[in-house]
Amino acid sequence: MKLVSYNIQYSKGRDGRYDLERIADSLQGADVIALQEVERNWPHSGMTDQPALLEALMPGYYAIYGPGFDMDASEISNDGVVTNRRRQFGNMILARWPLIWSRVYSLPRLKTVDQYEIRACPPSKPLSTRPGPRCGSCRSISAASHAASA
Amino acid sequence: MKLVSYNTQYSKGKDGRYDLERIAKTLEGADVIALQEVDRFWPRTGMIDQPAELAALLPNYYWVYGPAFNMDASEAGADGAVINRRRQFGNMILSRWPLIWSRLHVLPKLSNVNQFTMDMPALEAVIDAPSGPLRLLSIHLSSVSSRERMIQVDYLLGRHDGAPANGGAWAGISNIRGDESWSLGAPPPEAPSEAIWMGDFNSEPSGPEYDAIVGLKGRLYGRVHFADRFADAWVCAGNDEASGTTMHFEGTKPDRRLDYCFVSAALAGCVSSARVDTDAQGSDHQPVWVEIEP
Repeated sequence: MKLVSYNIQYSKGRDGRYDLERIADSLQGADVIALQEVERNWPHSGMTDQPALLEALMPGYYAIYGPGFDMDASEISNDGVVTNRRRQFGNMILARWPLIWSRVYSLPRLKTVDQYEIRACPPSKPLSTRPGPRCGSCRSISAASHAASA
Repeated sequence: MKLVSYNTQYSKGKDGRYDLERIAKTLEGADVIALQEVDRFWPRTGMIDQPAELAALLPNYYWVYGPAFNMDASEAGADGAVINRRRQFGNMILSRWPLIWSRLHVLPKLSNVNQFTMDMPALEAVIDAPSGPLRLLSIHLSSVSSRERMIQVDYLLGRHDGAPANGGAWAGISNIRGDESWSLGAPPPEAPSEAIWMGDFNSEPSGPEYDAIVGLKGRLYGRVHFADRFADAWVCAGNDEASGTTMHFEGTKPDRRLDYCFVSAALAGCVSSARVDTDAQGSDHQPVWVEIEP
């Protein structure tokens, strides 16, 4: 079983270019993928839905997305119609096999006054390869976790 | 400002019929709505996406959905293509004003072997209300045991105590400018220490959960509203804590009071009225309405 963890910096490469296809290419051949820094509705990535785009780029994978950062990004028209949207930033797990259950942990965070700090969060799932009993230790290693940087 | 909490039982009414429109009608006139038991992709509700359908039935509300229960409900085609879907069950917050930031707490859970139990949610959001930011949690505690609920209440009180140090979705100053700025040019989002807890606590005022949230009843002064704990909005509005039942059994057994609005002690004086909608037929619970003037 091939597992890969990748902090994708919301697809921004060393050349400064945003390219999700390049990310998907890097993940080819993986059975289980733990991603960090996947986002939705940010101006710098063109207000795109990166989890949905990645899902489309990687057909045949089961996928879950868990944002730690979740803020309003709705639009309201002149006549008062609300288009509800959330600006999100978080982790994603993809697997060749179904993700039986999943859980988001909103990690404790300390508020700072000078250094930018967002909420980091790992979605986690139990990893089970049928048949056979679940391997308890796999639960911790399967978490896509993202520790705070400050 | 009119707030309502409603455990919708995934829209299954007292007549056994699933009817989301009935739920939406019951919520008419609310400024802020805290829902529990909203589901996605369950066979019993026709594999529909209830948060999306409720949002369509209640246009011009801002909303967030927070599932605690989150299981696979995908379909795999013959060609190997996966239609990725999650079977979910959880809470929803709708508001006339933007939900500045939001956070899902999957509450601690104890596994047991003879009663159905599952991951339960507390969905937190800060509302950009005209009177100022308001921090609301839509909460659903476990139905199984007081032991499990007390662990969940302790978790929530711990997060409440830590709120000033915790802050909102982000804090500090972004050291990147322009389009790439993490702050998008905005100041850090507000994260009030005060909070409003609404939801189905699956426990009555005589239980230890209520004592932990609003304080023990003393012989001399009753329940003292300590600054770091909550007041029962129903009592603030002049009602007896033992009244205001929210689950009715039509005489087959005693009615129960399970659904509440708790406000930070500092907001106790802002509660102007509270009522239980005893007419609502859309669920096995009754909605709890509270008016506050923050």
